[in-house]
Amino acid sequence: MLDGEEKLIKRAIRGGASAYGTLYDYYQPKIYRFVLIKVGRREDAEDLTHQVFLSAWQNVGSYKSMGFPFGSWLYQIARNSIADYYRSRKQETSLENVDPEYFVAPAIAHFGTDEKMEMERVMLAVQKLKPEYQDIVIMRFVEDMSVKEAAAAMDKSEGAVKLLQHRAINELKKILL
Amino acid sequence: MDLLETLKKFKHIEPNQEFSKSSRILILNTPAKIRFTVWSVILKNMELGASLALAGLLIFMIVGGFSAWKFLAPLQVANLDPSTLRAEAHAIDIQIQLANLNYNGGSATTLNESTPQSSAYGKSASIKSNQGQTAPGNSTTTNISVDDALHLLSE
Repeated sequence: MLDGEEKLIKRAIRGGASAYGTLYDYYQPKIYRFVLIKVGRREDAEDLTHQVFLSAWQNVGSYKSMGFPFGSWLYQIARNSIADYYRSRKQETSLENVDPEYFVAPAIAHFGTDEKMEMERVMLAVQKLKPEYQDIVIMRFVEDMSVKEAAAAMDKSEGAVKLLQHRAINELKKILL
Repeated sequence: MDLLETLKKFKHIEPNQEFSKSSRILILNTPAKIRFTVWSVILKNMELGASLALAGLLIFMIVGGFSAWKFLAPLQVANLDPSTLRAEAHAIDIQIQLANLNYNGGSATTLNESTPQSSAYGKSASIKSNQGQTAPGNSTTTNISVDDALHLLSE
């Protein structure tokens, strides 16, 4: 959670663009990673991230803090946007015709070769999980969100979140074997 | 492979900076749907009223300050008062006694004084050198310095 987030949100709700800009700067990398790991395509991840924040800005007046961070609300918007993305996505084209830059590889270009291979393998495995399992793995193990924050973002109880994360990790390990 | 350690590495993924910058600009330039409440409307109007009142006060202070200056100024310098200056100017009775100054290259000059009747504006003194001509008209020649001559003229 960002320091002074409550005040920033109140100013953003009153139309304060600079306040929303501060929130954007803090949450945008997190939402981008969340979307990128789930969709696997850099351009699509950028488009969806942009849509999430645009939608949040246009509807910030209706945001009501229920004691959880602004980020959880953004994650809800992101999950809904990704669901819409999968529903409307056209059929896959042949991989031979796709520009390599389109995929996630450039986002991890600065890692070592072994690390890159490991990360790509894990990312592909995460994409094979159910959407709920993907969400919990990213929120809890990539972004280090608390159980409470993840529960708010997924609109589930804390107990349900703990159970989900246990099952998600087991499923992921099975895929990677 | 340590799965949890590998998952932590994903946290180092950052979006492209150019994308982030342009996306931010586009989003913030889009008008937001502001939630209006009775209190926010009242607050907005109060802010507007306070701004107008402050602007009016500032204009009043600027305009009022100029006209109050002559009462508030600590020093009354008579020389700077335009009406006083005009009065003094009219009082000066300039009677320039023009004379032909005979300037002798150094401090001494040969001064040819003109008669009182010949004083007026516009008549220039002619400086006569030692070898030069004497000025026309009734004149007497006196050997005095330029400073003395000017002093005499000003009296």
